[in-house]
Amino acid sequence: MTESAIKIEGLHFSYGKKQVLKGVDLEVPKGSIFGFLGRNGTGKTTTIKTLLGLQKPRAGRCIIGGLDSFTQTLEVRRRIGFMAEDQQMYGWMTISRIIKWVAGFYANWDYKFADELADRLGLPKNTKVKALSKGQNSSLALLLALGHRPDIVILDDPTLGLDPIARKDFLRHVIDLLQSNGVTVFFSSHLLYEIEPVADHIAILDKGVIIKASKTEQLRESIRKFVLAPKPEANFKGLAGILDVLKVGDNVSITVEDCNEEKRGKLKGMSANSMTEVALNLDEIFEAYVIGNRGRELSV
Amino acid sequence: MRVSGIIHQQICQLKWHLLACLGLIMVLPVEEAIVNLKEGDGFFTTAMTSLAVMFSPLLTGLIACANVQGDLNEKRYIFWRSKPADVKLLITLKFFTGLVASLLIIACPVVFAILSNIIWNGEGIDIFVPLPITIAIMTYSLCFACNVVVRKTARAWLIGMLTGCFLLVLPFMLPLNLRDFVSDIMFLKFGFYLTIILVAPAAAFIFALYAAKHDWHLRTNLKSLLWIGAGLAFILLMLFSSQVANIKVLHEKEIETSFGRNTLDYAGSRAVFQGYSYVDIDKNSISLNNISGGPEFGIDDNLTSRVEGYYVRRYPNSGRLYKNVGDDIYSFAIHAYYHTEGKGPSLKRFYEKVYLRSYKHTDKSWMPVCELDISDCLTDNINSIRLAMRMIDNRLIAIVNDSYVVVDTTDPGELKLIDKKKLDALKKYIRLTYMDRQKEFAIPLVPVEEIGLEERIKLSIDLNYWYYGFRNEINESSIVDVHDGKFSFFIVDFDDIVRFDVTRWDDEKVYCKFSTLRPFTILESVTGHFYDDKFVKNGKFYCYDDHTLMVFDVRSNSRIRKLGHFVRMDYDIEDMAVLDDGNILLCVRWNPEFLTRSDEQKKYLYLLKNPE
Amino acid sequence: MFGMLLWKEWKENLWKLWFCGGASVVFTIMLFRIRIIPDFSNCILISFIQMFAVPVIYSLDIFSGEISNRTVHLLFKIPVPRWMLFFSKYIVSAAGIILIFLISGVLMEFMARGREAQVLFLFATNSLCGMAALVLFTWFCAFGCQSRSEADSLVAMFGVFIGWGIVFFWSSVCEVAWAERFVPYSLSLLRITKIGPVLTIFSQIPAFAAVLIIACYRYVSIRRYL
Repeated sequence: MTESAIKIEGLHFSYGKKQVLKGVDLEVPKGSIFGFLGRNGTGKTTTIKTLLGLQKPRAGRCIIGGLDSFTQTLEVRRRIGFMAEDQQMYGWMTISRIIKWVAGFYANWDYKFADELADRLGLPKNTKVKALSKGQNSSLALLLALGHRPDIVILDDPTLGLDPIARKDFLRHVIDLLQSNGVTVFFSSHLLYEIEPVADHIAILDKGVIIKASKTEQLRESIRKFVLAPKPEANFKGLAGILDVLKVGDNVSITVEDCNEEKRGKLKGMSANSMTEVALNLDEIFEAYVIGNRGRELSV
Repeated sequence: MRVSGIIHQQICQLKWHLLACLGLIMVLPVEEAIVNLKEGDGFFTTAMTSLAVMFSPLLTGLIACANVQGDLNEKRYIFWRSKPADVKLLITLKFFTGLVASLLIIACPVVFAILSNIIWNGEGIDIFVPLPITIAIMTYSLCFACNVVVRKTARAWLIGMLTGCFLLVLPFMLPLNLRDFVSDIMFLKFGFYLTIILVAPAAAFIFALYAAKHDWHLRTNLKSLLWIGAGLAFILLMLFSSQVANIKVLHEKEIETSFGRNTLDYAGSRAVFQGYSYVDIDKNSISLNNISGGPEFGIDDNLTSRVEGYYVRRYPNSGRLYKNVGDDIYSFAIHAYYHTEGKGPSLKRFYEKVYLRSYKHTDKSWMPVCELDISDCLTDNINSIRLAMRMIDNRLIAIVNDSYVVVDTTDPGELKLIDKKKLDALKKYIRLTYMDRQKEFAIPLVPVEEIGLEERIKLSIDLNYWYYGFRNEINESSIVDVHDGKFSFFIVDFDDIVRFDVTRWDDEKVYCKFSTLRPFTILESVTGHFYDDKFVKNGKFYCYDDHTLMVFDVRSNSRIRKLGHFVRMDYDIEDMAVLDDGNILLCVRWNPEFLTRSDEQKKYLYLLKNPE
Repeated sequence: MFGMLLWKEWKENLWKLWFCGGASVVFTIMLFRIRIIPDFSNCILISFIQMFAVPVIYSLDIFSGEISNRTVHLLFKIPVPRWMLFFSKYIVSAAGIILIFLISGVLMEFMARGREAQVLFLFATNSLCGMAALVLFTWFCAFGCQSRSEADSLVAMFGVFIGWGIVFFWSSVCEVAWAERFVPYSLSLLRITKIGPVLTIFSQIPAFAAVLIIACYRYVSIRRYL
């Protein structure tokens, strides 16, 4: 079993009376690019803040790089790289100055690597931070997160506010720089089509709990949509793992998780004519998990 | 748009701010009431109400900012701008809802004070309550307008409050006439000032309407705000100092403290300090060169004890009339002796003897050299006395009550009586009033034939103005300016300096008419008043009171133009002298009671630069 | 690490030192040259204005600026204990406040040259106001360290001013000497009132330390608003 870079156990968190996290359990394998998905307000950023030790959970714990995130928070921050959503930096500093300043807090800052990174990301060293574009700002934040060669990098919606090309560019850098070095990347976003090509593991957070966590490929393989014209006597209720059912004219579209030959056979048996199997992208998978009706519409 | 709905929404938006402000404004009155209750005086408040109301401008500013921020902060702004809302109506409703709520809050401590004080007649409430409330309306409006434009609460509040302070202080700093600010009608005191305070809110409200409608947005920066504020304060201070403190002090010399007022007199062209030192100026530096050793008032002490049971009144009161004859210096004084009968309010004085004396300076002190008995000048009234004296060339004119004597002082050691007459004319003196500015009036011309007409006219005017006052300095100064054969004299009234010109004269009267006036500015009125000491010299009019000296040019273009102002608030100007080069000598006294908690005093001689 | 934090805070807040110091110098020179009021009155005027204005200017955005500019994420991410962040801000601000009062005090003495007050009298008066300013600033930190905006900071400052004003009034009127000693304003009035100076200063020290610790604790325990 691959060792976990990040382990979250039974995490509960509330803002006053409103409970946001209701028992989150998660394991992020070492060296993976882990996509952390969820709708707005489901608790993604809260989970990340708790991971960093910035807030104390009501119950549960977070182990990151073998360290307890709340009791060993300083050590955690030394070992990980973090990039917040829409992170602003000190506008009055130049790029070289802010790199130098942040480097002072890390004993293992790699100056040569940081320089190379700055060149690679196209950051003009003598420019003041306040003069940077949004894309350059994100690049700088990434550089500051990576300069000390962390084993684990946490990115909280890092492409927020960037245009499509800038987003693609950013993700390309992430892949290039991190994937090849065996760095664990914990990546939170709600732009699923961006995560899909890069993430090899996915977790979906909904209503304060993880409703699905799996390898991306495995997820894509195991979740399928079947479009068929059901026989009058077809009974779908016995079929386990239905995520979503939609009626499209005379046809029915059924999204099923953990799809195997047995389920395929059952579905074929209920179909009046030919059945079409459709592979879903991450967007559609996410939609099925989060807003799927779980077959409540079944009245066929 | 439903008006009631908007008003309700505004009140809901403001409720916590209003409650907080209510709590703040009521804290001090309630605290005072509790303290009074604990002391057994009852549950009431008085002074703290005024104090609480005085802070109301700060609170209304906060309410204004909270009022605007509720809808106009950067995030919510887009929301209501995208709705079909009538901007003007919305802003108007916001403005007046907040204003009414603020006024209701300010009224709370006043109502509390009135209700809790069954016996209190509200004394002081007319002074301490209306003005802060009007200022509160002004600050509310200014902060409201600033917030509409700036859209950041703290900065808008700072700008609004600074603008309010600026408007309140600016009229004092500008050289505006006091009369423009003070109304003769009692309840409209500071009428013009009040107008500024009430016009500003109206202007701010209109500005806010337009700013909201046209989406004016001023992006501010805390740094630049502070620098601008400091710059404005600097400009105000410069305006202030240019009005009230611009005569340069060339030299300041600490002198020995002595009992009583220090005096500066003239002996020819030299200034004499305290009767025992010449004041010499060399390269703008004061030096005192002693004429004699002891204070001159010691002479009077010796004199009074000569005749037991009698007291002496002397003229000049302070200082002396000096005359240089070769290397010798002489001084002259009138001494009037009286005894008293009765005590307290029924005390009566009976003047019996009056002497004109001359003194010569010797190595050690002033020695009397000649004495002239002029007691027969006390003709009709022996219970009070008026004295005056003036030296014109070698003629010394001494005036006692309604009589005068002319004495030849060519040899001060031997005073020769030239003339002695009654001065009936003096009985008809004119006390100048405001009505005298309306028409020509006449001053009696003193019939002293031994002096020239010019000096007669000057003496007549000086006597008319000064003789019946508490203290006159006819011996050394004049309020009359003579220029190109024309005579003018100057009076300091309550709020202005008035010039009268002599139009004509005959054998008995000098006819005068009002010419022009120069009102005091507000700052001039604040830093000084009751300018008892005044005189004209070389075309300049000098007037000073305890701690303020003002110098005016009275000859240019027939209008009175201020040349300089000198103020030292904690100092008393005891006496002054103007040197031939126009530089000014001041004797000042400073009692640093606040520092030393004692009666210790310090005295200085100041040399001020000629203000031209 | 602490040095890096101090450097950053110093650079960020240098403009406040320039502004307050510059304004203080200019107004001191002007007022002491004009001399409309005596030197001691000038000293009191300048010192009192500084006593309120300087802490306000320093505290307006020292903490809230990080949150409103969203640089707090960067600050909280770097591996330094939060108390170090707090003290870097506090020490730089306190140093600035002390420096401003030192400069103005020395300048006052230089301008006055012992002509009206004894030598060092003005400096001592100004220094006492400086101490009061430092105490007030510490109270501002305690109340305002979790402020999200300049407006919140301003409200916190108001609270401190008014709160202490009420205590001061009550203690003066009711002659509760022990309470009067704890009021920061009392420090500035030591030279001109009858409150025992030594006892006042010694009363202020533990209160000051307690408030500083509370301020640090409040800053360290920020969880929301990030």
